[in-house]
Formats: sequence, C-alpha cells, structure tokens
Amino acid sequence: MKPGEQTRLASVDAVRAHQRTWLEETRAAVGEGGGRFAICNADDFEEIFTAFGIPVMVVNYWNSIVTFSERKGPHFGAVLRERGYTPNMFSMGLATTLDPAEAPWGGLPKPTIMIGTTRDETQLRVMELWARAFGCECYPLDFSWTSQYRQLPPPGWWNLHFSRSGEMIDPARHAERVRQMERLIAHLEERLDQPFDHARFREIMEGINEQMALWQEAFDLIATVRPLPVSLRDQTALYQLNWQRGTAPNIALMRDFLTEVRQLVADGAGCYPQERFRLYLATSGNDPLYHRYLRERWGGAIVSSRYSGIAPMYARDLSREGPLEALAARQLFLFDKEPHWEVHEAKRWGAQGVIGLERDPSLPSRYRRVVEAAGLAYLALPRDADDEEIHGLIDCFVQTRILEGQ
Amino acid sequence: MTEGANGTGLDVFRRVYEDRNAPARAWKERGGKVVGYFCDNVPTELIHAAGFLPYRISGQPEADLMRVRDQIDALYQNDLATRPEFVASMLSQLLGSELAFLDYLIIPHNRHAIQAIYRELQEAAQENADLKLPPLHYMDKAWSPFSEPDGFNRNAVVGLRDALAAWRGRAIDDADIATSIEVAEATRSLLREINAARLDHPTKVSSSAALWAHAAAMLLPPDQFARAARAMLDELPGLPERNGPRLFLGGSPFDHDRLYALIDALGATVVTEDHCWGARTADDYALPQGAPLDRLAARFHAAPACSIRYSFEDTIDASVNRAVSADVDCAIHYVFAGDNTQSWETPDEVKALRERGIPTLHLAEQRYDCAPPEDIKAQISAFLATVPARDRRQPA
Repeated sequence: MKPGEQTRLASVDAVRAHQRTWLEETRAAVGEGGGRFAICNADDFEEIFTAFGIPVMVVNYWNSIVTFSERKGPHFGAVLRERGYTPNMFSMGLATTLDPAEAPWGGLPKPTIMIGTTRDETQLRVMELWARAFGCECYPLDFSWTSQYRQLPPPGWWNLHFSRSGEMIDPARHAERVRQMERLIAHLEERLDQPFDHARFREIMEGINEQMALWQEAFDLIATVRPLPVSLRDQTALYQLNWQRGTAPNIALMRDFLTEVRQLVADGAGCYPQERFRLYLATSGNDPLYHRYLRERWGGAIVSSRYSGIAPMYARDLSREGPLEALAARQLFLFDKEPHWEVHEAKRWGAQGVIGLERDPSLPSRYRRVVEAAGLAYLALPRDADDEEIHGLIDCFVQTRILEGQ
Repeated sequence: MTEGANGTGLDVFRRVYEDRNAPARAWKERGGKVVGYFCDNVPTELIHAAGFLPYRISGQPEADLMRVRDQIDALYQNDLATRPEFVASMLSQLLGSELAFLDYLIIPHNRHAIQAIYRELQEAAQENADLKLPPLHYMDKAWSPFSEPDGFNRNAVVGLRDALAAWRGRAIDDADIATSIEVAEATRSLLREINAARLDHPTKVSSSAALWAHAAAMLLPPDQFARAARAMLDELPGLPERNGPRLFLGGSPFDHDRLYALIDALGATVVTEDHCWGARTADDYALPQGAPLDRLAARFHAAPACSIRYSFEDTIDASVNRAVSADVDCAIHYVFAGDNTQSWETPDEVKALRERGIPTLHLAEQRYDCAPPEDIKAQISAFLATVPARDRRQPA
C-alpha cells in the first residue's frame, strides 16, 4: 500500500452500490406512476413502511449523503439562505428538493407521504416545508428520543437495550407512543387502501435482530484483531445498512461483510499502512478530514467511532413484548452521547485516546474528565477540518499525550 | 388618577419590569413560597391553588453567559449544547444566585433548549456540589395534534398538581383550583382590555407599557396586578395620542423592552405582537365546562408549546391574522440568532404580510440584546420612513 492509501472492502462497496441502485429503482418506479415512496426520520417509522412494502428514505441518511459524502452543504445552505431560512444539517434534504438539479444521486422522487417529527422545533417545520415543496402529505408524529431528557440514563445503559429498555423510558410516554403509531398505521391503511401486515412487521423486527447480531459479531472481531482489518471509512459506510434494516437484501449484505472480515482476519490484512497507536472518534461525523494527516505524520489510526456501537442497539428482545411495543421503546431511547459509554467503546477497540468535538477545546469538559480518569488521552478539536490549526492540535496531542506515555 | 398597588398603574408595571424579582422577594418576606417556571403554557392556576406564587423566568441581556459555558456546555460535545441566547441567559441566572429565592422549579417540554434544561441542571449539579438547585418538576407534553386531549397531556397536568401538593404537604382540592381559574380568567380579561385599548384609533398605550403589563401579570400576585391594571386602564384617557405608524412585531420572544423602547422613541407603536411575552399570553382558549382540572388540561392540550402549532399554515395564518386584525401599517420580524423556532416560520409570515400590502422588515439572526442600538435604530428608522402616512385616528 502507498502512504495514505486505504483498502476498500468489496462487501462495503456492494453496500454503497446497493443504496444507489435502490434509489434509482425507487425513483424509476415512482416516475412510472405506480410506485410509492415515503420519507421519515431515522428512528421514527421506517420498519412500519417496510412492512407496508413502501420504500422509505430516512432524513438523516439523506442529509449525511448531502453533507458528508457529496460535501454539498455549502451549496444547499446557500439555497436556503436565498429563501430567508437559516440552514442547518437537518434541512439539507429540503434544500435538495428546492434545487433538484444539484441533488446527489439524481435526487429523491416525490413521496406519497412524509412523517414529520417533533424531535425539536426545527424538525417538524422543515418536514412540513419539505412536504410542501414536494406537494405531498406531511403527517406529524410526536417527539421521539425524549427519554434522556426526563430521566438520566442509568450507569451502564448501553447494556440494557436488548431486554431492559423499559428501565430507561417513561411508561406513560411509551404507552402514548404506541397509541400514536397505531393511529398512524390506521391512517396509512386507509390512505394506501392496504391492510397492515403484522406478521411481516414481526419478520422485519426479527430481521433487524438477525442483522445486528451479524454486525456485533463482525465488529467484535474487527475490534480485537491487529492490524485493523476495516477502515473507519468502510465502517461508517456500512452504517448505511441501518436504512431498510431488517430486510433480506440488507441481511445478505451484512452476512457478506462478516464473511469478508473473517477472511481478512485469517489473512492478517490491515487497512492502514501503519498503526502505531489507536484512537477512537467520539463524534457524529464520518471519517474526519484530518485522519490522513494523523496517519501519515504520526501513524495514528482512528479505529472506530460511536456508530459501530450504535447499530447493535437497534436489536430488541421480542420475546418480552410485542414488536410495536419494542419499536416504541427503541424510538424513545436509542443511545446517548455520553462519555462513559464512549470510554467503554474506546477500550473495546484498544484505543489509547479519544477524539471529541468541543466548542472551546481549552476548557475543562466532562468528556475530558471522564476519558482521562479512565486512563485514556483526550483530544478536543473545535471542528472537523484539515488545516494548520487542527494539525497543530494533533501534533501537540500526539507528542505530549501519546508518545510520552509509550 | 387611580392608585395601583403602589403608585399609578403604569408606574407599578414599569417598576415591576425593572426589578422583576421584587414581587417574589416581597412574597417571601411574608412567609410565602415561590415556584419558578418557564414559558407561557404551564397552568399557573395550579401553582396559585397550592398557595404558592408563580414566577415566570425571563432572560436578561446582561446575564453572565460564561457560567453556562463553564457549567453546562462543558458537559456536552458541541452538537448537543445549542440554545438561543435568551435561554442561555435564563439558565445563567439559575446557575448563579439571582434566582436563589425560588423554592421550586417547573420545566416544561417546550422548545428543545427549554426542555433540555431539566437534564442540564441535574447533570451540572452532579458535577458541581456547590450548585444548589430547587426541587425540579418536568412537565411533559405530547405535541402531536392527533394525541387524545384526555390522555397523555391531561396526565401531565395531574402530575403537576400532585407535585405541587407534595411540595406543600397536602392535597389540592377542586374548589381551590376552581377559585384559581376564576382569578386567572380575571387577569386574562384585564390583559385583553389592555390589548383592546392598544388597538384603539389612535392608540394611547405605548409599546413598552403593554409589554410591562403582560410581564407583570406573570410576576405579581393577582390582586396586585388587578389593582394596577384597573389603574392603568383608568389612566389611559389622559395619556397622549400616539399617531405614528401602528406596528405588528413578529419573530422571537421579547423578554426585555429594548426594541419596544426604541420603536416608541421613533414614534411608532407596537399595537400587537406574536410572541409569548405579549398579547398571546392573554389568548382566550375558552375553557370548556367541567371539572376544574379537566378545564386546565383542555387548555394545556390546546395551547401550542412555544409557537409551534400544527400545521405550519395554521401558525402562519394565526400570526398574519393577528397583524391584519390589528389594522397595522407595517410589521417588523426580529429573529434572534439561534432561535430555531422562528427561523423557519418567519420567512413565510413576512411573505404573507407583504402579499397583503403590509410593509414588513425582516431582521434575521439578530443579537438578543439588540446591540448595537444605533444600527437597529437606523434600520428601523429607514424602514418606518417608507411606511405610507395616513390618519391613524380612524381605522383604515
């Protein structure tokens, strides 16, 4: 491998290709007049649409394609500003519909329905404006992910998802969530003139468990072997399998990935030319722009990010409650950006340090305190950029916090 | 002139506005307890029924935001801790000693930055043993227009009643709640009289005076407010006519009077507005008949959290209708930087008003403290100069 070069897994390229093909096929079907299509937020309603047999694009996935994969945030930000709006990442999808000629991958077809979420005051409004731009229905669904605002996640919360999620959510809010989903399902049955297939829904939920078990097995393997067999870029790209999750094609792609990982491990293959030390990325971004500098200058590898730990949290024990109740519980609490969990993940990956994004890296933060108390080094960066300031912070961190300890 | 609580009505309201904690301090000196709360949809009737004084927390442009940076922002990475400055300034006062007189605090599930305070304060207290907080109560709300009125949101009102009962050490009965509802309706009725006077041709109620009156309704004991409000209404005939442009103010919630004072100084008058510190607080939700708690629950369910009502078009229509029915000559939409609620609604409100022939100035991503005042003044002055003149002694 040349310096800076990374391997790309064939199974992950297949995931990338699958997503584009899926969108092309969906667009063609809708364009021909017979196809249906929906847009919803990631954790709100995807499984329900899948059970109805309706292809669905999740908002934050589309926004991440615009922002991270295609790096078109500045253009679409300007599109919104021209219309008097103040852009943010959640509104990128709206902007692609206002300026479809510039939309990635040929853009989205007109949806049959969009599910507006009241996760915060921006999201419902953006979804309503987006539906207006498409000329389709927007159905508001109440706030998801509320639980961590009402009750703090208990210690070790990341171990409770599968069968003890009830301990982390408000029972009244959970019951309300189930009622709201039942109401929306009834609305869709009428709107689509199609009964909801409860058996198919259970299949989807069970499929998610199967997919996430494969994910867990693959990532447990990746985390423990040296050298790292799967790059952060490929790990992040694999997260696309979380959209249309639980379907047969996604499970097959996940199984292919596990097979390829096993082979790479057997071959002792590494994804980076050198791996002098490992770092864990505690941010919501993709493979950061400065990673190449970190690798080439210092041999430092960012071996994983929070996404690798989030995906398995979608799995739920369906023997304890019905699939709708399990889905509602997951919608109310999936994960929390919280340092004790990130420390747990960093240690699982054998990282010596953690990278976070903080407005003012010079200030003492809880992330820094918790990470350093756990015996790991902490690098706080003000932004994900690849410039001299960031390089300087990386240099100082590596020299004083990583190399000195070796 | 009729005497209010202490001086004329307007004097009382102005003094309360200048020292918003004074009524609560006086209440406490008499042995009472004070319950702080955020926003305009907490059923304060229940607080009164428990025998406590409600105190609506407001922002302060001069608040020390370094406290928020050091004690709250330091808890989270930068994609979690986002809030408009007026919310930060409220949080700052809770982290400092300014609001140490609060015995209890209610945090409703309204805009995200408000909702997050419940968690932020608890985690800040975990990190900092010196931070003393009053007992907190989180008041959840289902926002969906499809949730059932007698379901989740009613239970949230029951939960608040029970929390207040626990704080005072005995149950709150329906008779107490019914009395509080009557008192609160009397307060709203007085505010509606003041708002009606604002719409007179010509108006005699200055922009600032109206803002002071609405805030006083949320800070004074009801009997003191009632005396001062009646005094203010008695004073109005003797006040000078305000014949400058009649103005509608949209956009972010103004919990300080700097913009209002500036508009008054330029000869224009805000005759109505669409934010939660002004005319909207007196909106009549026509409480249904029934058990007192059910009446409050019905209003809590119907009133939008912050200004976020479904649908978008309903929100725009409500705002525009407020302006149109006030027979305004022009409108200003002033939106604070970071106010995500308004930043998506305002462009459509501005467009709709302009389509109705109402000249509208859209000031986006503005500073909460309205600084530098000379810049704001210049922009508004230039805008007002474009507003067509007319005889404002008569409706258009």
